[in-house]
Amino acid sequence: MGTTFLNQRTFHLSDKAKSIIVDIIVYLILILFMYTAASKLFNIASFSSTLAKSPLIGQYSKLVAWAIPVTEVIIGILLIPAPFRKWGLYASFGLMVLFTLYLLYMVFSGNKLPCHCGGVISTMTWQQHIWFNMGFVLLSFIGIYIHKKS
Amino acid sequence: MNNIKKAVLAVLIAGMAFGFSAFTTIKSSSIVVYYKADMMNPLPTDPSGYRYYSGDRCEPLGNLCSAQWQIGSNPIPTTDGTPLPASGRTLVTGSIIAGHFE
Repeated sequence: MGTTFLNQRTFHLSDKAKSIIVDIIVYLILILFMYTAASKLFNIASFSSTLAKSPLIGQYSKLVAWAIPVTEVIIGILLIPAPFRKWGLYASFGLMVLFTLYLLYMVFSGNKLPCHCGGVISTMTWQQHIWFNMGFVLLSFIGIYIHKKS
Repeated sequence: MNNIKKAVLAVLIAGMAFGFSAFTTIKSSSIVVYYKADMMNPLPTDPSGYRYYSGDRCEPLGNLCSAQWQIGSNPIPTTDGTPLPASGRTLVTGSIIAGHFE
């Protein structure tokens, strides 16, 4: 009786629904990474000078300015073919966690916050950016979870 | 939808996102943030006193720190302290940032 009740309450998704949800999550992450990568690559000097003002990055700004968009493009490529999709989702989760931790450190460390790097996302405040990133961390997590289950 | 169709759709989405971003970034590259470094003429619409600086030079308190200017075919400034071009520039409406230059 108890088991039956529990089974009725369990949220069930069909394989097709799971596949569609993972696809949508992958496309959203792909749009984000490709959009921001292009924005950084086509404005690399400005992005590098902004990073140079960060106390955590400072002297490595040029290296990081190239490494971030290149990593985003590589993760984007990993998300495309089905066999590598799982690794793309893990990598995007890791990168978004890293970005969020960096933003949290910058906001709570009391350092002067440099201006943003470009694109539509640059219109957000640092706090809005943290919430935006957390949304994508959650999306990546859901993507990994459903991908594992399916 | 099979895996090949999904991959093709993903490539299309990725290409469009990259292309759109590149297009908007290049298009907005003639819009530059200039800082009102000299407040002799404190009107935001007055082009005198505006200078280019890389990065963020605004501090709180004050009515005018920076504004975006469309500089058209003028060369993009790269050196800190470069004044706003004497001609061919237009103030971008709503781009004025309060605070003060430091």
